[in-house]
Amino acid sequence: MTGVHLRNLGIRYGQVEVLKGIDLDIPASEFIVLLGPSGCGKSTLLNAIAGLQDVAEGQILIGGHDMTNVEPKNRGIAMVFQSYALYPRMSVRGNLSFGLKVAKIAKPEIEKRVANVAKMLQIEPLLDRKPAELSGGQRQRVAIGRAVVRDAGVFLFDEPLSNLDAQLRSDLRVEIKRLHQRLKSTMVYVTHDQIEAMTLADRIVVMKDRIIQQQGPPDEIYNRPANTFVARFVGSPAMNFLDGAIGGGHAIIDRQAIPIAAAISAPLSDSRPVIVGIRPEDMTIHTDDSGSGLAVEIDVVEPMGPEKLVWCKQGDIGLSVKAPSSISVMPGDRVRLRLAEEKLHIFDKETGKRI
Amino acid sequence: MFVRSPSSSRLQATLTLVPVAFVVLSVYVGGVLWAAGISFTRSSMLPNYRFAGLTQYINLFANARWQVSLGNMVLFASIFIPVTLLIGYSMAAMINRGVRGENALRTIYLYPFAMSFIVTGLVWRWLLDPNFGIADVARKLGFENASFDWIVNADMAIFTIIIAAVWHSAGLVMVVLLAGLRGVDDDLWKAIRIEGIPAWKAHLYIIVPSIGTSIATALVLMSLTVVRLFDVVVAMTGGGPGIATDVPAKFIIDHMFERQQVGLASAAATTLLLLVLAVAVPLLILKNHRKGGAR
Amino acid sequence: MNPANAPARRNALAAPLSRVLVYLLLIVIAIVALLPLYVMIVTAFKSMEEIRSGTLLSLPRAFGFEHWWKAWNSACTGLRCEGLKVGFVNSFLITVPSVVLAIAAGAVTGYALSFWRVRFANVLFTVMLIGGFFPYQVLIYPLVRITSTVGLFNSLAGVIFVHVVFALPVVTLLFRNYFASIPIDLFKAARVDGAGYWRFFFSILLPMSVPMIAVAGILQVTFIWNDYIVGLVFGGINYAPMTVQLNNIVHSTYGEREYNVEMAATLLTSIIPLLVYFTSGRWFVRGVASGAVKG
Ligand SMILES: Nc1ncnc2c1ncn2[C@@H]1O[C@H](COP(=O)(O)OP(=O)(O)O)[C@@H](O)[C@H]1O
Ligand SMILES: [Mg+2]
Repeated sequence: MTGVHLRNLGIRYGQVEVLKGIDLDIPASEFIVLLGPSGCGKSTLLNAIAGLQDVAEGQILIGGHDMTNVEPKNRGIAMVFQSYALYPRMSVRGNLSFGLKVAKIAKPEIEKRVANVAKMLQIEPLLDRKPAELSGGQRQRVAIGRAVVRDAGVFLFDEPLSNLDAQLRSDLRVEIKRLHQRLKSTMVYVTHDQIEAMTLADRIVVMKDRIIQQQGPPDEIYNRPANTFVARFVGSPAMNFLDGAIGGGHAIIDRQAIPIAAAISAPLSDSRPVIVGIRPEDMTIHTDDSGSGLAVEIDVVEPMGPEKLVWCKQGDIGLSVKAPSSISVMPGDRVRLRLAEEKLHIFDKETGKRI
Repeated sequence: MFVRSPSSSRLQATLTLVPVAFVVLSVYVGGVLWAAGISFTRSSMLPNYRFAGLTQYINLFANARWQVSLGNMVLFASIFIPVTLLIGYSMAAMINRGVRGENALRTIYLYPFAMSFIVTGLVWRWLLDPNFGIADVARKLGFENASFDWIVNADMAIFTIIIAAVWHSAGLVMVVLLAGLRGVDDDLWKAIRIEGIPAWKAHLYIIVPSIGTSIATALVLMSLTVVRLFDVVVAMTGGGPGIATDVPAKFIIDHMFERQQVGLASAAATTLLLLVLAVAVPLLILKNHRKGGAR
Repeated sequence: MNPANAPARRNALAAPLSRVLVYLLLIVIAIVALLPLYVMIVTAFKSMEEIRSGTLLSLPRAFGFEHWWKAWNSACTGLRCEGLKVGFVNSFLITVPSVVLAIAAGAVTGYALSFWRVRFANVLFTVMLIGGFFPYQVLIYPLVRITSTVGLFNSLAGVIFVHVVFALPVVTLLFRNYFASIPIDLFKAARVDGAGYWRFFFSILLPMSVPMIAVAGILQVTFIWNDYIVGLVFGGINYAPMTVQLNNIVHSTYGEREYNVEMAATLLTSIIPLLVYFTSGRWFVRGVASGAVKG
């Protein structure tokens, strides 16, 4: 099987260094998602793997072979684009078979492969249509089909679902996951959408400012974010952050001492400034006046069906809390928030790194 | 930026461009430089390379016919361009309001542009004929003393050429500007309407500035018509009466081929080119600047 | 267009009035635009006697075709008296290969400049861009020297060569701008599929470019058919195009001028461009609107 390995990869546009010292090991059959905000270099990295991008330094290994200077068609890869990039004057059948024709594969073999793929992706009725006659979702299915038919060991996806509306997006997400389970190919998937990343990935690579911030399985990224950027980028609504300082093994926030022993491995020295992060679902709202917890004022309440999203103010800091829909609070109410101690995330105030 | 490509394909691309580059560079650069060089020699019937300094240019600007030609071009430009722009814009603005029969109207307005300048000149020569033309129609309608002899009147003949040229180009300018107007966001029109801005103010201060690219295109097209002005003059007046409607292009061609004063003609051509570059390059920069770089 | 697109009207009462005014103006402009065509047609059918007695605008009493036949077959174009038919054939022989070659060269050049990194491509493109603005008169003499050096002066091939050289910048620009608007992902997808230099051009790009080819083709057919100066200078006596012969017919008659023959000849010369225009006006408008004419 084909793994992908990047060694000390560096990419420049003219004088501008876009990526530098990227090391990444993608084992065979893994579904890896490159996640990051727009402009962080995800597409550039994917294009480099595809052979569509000049590499200034480093090495790209695919299936154990050095492919750094090999043509895209000979890398054993297939690619799916955000804009579908279907050949507009060819029928769906023509789109699926073009690459195979170029590779001079025998006609009966081409027909067989196209038929198989069309069946797998349920695009058989569309085979004789032109791309302009297809809906967005159908186009992207065809684009995926064009990749599958190449029988490649590695699939590269560049934000394939970003042009689709919400419903189609979740449908095709499931489709892509099913495809992976079935083909067991290595898949490298680029997105800026953290839900896609969480649902699809065996492993997520979070990128920002052209460097890799953290890599790991989705639950590790979610539960143990390596820094405040990852913590904020993954999860919706985003994690809440509170400034505090260490005092007697506790984090002191707004004169409240919050026990943090459960969240850290080693004790911290007193008065060290920290950032305490807590996800919206790890807090509870209390209307009784027992005196413990952060005192806040209710700002806005958003009913979401099964739960309510409650936005609270503490001074000029805003906090979001997920509460059961049975809770009855009104804007202006003064309540107390209790934080689940074992779910706290403690970050260094200077570096933003997890402690 | 470009996608990474193998050297073999890059070689292919280079090989494709070599013949084109050879022709383009030899004509557009080599040819022009050579012509400019000739303008500094004593060349008469055939080019020769005896250096003459600025003699040809001194003779050129002392030449009455050149002075008339240049003056005519300036006069032509200063009337033809604003008038055509104004008419073209008004037509585009009216059509843009949404009128019935838009396609038919547009077809009618643009067809003159599909006619050659020779045809344009000949037709208008006939229409403006002092004996049988429009003047005759007026006379037979009862205006016994009507006369319209501009085309044979040395002072007025240039204006008949302007009339023919406006007829030829107004539709073109209309189409270019209409395309620009169609690109204006619908919401902008709605906002103008809600704010109750008078139509002329809306056009002058809001719409015109937002179709700058189209206006630049129209200006470029009209400027090209001005410097290439030749066929229509030949067909309509032959440069006459006398030299009254002579233009630089005609001056150059005549001196090159009939009077066999290649050096003088080259000096005139070089002068004209410098003039064109002085006008065109800023327009070009403006236009491409507005459009933003391609890829 | 929907009425929401209409600019603000100051009040509801003024609207119907201004609407009538707009239609009135548009119709008057249409009449002025059509007038020369109308006059050309009616004059071409009248006898000389009728031209003298009637007016410019009156309909012909009887339709005479003999002036048409004379214009086509026996009118004098200088020393020869063989009518326009020779010029018609020449214009055909010039236009078809010139247009085909110009489009082929422009498309391939635009392609090489758009998708592939070639050294000095920008220099070449800039030269073409600026060269497109050169007045023809500046390039004519160098081109005369070039064509006579290689023995093409006064030959069909020479005329075609000059037309291609003059058309190349515009056509290249047209295709380059079109290719620049194609999403780069399409190129990437084709590269992943293994398409090389020519494969991408012929299998993917060219089929997509059919509308652009139509636009460029229609415009170039019109321009080259209507050209006067290139045919005049480079065609010599044997390959003078229709426009040159038309001008000769009109300007070389001795004795009484035959206005009906002149107008018949003018119409005959315009038939091809008018036919192209009226059958494919949509593409024509599209080409003009996209600034394909120049720049
Ligand atoms: N052709 C280019 N020339 C110069 N800079 C570029 C080019 N393409 C992308 N960049 C820059 O490289 C960075 C990464 O781009 P990209 O890989 O497309 O980001 P992403 O896909 O993560 O949104 C961006 O900052 C972008 O501005
Ligand atoms: Mg991207």
